Amino acid sequence: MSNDKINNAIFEAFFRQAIKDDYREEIDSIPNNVELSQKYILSPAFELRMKRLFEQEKQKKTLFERNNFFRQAAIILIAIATLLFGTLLINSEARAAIKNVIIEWYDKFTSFSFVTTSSQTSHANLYPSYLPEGFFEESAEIYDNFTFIIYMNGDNERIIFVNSTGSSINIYIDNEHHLFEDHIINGHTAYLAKSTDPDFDNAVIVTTGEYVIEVWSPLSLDVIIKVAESVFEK
Amino acid sequence: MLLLYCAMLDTEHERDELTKIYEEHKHAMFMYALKMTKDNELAEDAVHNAFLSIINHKEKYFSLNHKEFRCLSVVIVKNKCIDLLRKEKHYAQVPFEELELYLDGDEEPIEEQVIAKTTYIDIRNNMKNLDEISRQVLIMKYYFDMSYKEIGKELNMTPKHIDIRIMRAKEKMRKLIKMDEKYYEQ
Repeated sequence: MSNDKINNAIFEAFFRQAIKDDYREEIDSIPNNVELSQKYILSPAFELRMKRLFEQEKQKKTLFERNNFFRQAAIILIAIATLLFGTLLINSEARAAIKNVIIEWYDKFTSFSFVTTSSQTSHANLYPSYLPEGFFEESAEIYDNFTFIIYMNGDNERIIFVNSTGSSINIYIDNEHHLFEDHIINGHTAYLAKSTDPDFDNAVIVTTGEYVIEVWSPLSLDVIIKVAESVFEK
Repeated sequence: MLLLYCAMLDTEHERDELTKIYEEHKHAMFMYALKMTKDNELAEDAVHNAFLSIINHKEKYFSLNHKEFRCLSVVIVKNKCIDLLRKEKHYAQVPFEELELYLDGDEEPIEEQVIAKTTYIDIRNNMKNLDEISRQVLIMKYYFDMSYKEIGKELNMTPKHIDIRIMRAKEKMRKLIKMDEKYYEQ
């Protein structure tokens, strides 16, 4: 190996190590959190923004993973039930006990299941044309068969708008904190879920056959019905 | 019923984990973001965007210990700063190479550097003279062992661009060391 090549190899080795050591030292030299928090003040608006981001993340998980969980749990329960069915066929007491567990489990939630006929991307153009005064679009996420928008106002009240298509849409709302009522919005079947607990949102669910619209908010049902109605008013 | 509670616990645990990570690292990330953007609002935007990225890859990040996460979070927030500075109106039409001048090392001019005797120390001393974007690329390449493609995705650059940037950084470093040697010999 020529001298140049040896020198290059040495330089390369030192260079790589220097990068690593330099960065490691830089991270180690960061002051502790007490000192940092005294020197760098994050604005209250920013802290609120981060809190909303984490809440939004939790909402998304609640909407998606609850569906996933119930789907999986239902499969497991059906499998167990099928397994037990054979051995417990002659035992009526055991059969009654299993049945009660499933009913009790489903009793906690009211499930709305929809099948739509719309194509994947055509849902993307449906938005509310009415929002209460002071509300603005805070974030919007558009997926293949799902649009998820959060509207906020200056008092940090929020309206969550969801527009879905797909061959199987399941929405679960817990019974303990909601009262349900059928409704009609612009000629479409709608379901109202009135919250009985201030920690839980009111909800309006509208199905058109092509789409399922959901509007969730701590605001009154009258207001969010108006928001849902405006989706169909062009 | 147990399955239901376990599922809820997982969600609650992840939510607590995210909040814990945020509280532990927000100030350090803000410090770096402020240093790069020199603007409180932009720095906060960068930290917010960094956490968006962290949330999207939380399975990867939640398993890291405090030190490992700190190392990675600094890189992430710096990348977000670069994105924001690029998008800022003032720099929207400016080529990426000019952006690096804005993020150039802020130490003394090369001619005034005091050199050390060995190659390794020379390189360490001149690290601060590399522009921030090149440093980011080098850290992602050599510290985190990321591929050119992965680095390019983070910084919105092509793999070829990454390769050229690394080569330029090495060439610059060699020149800096040579200049230091001449200065020392004088």
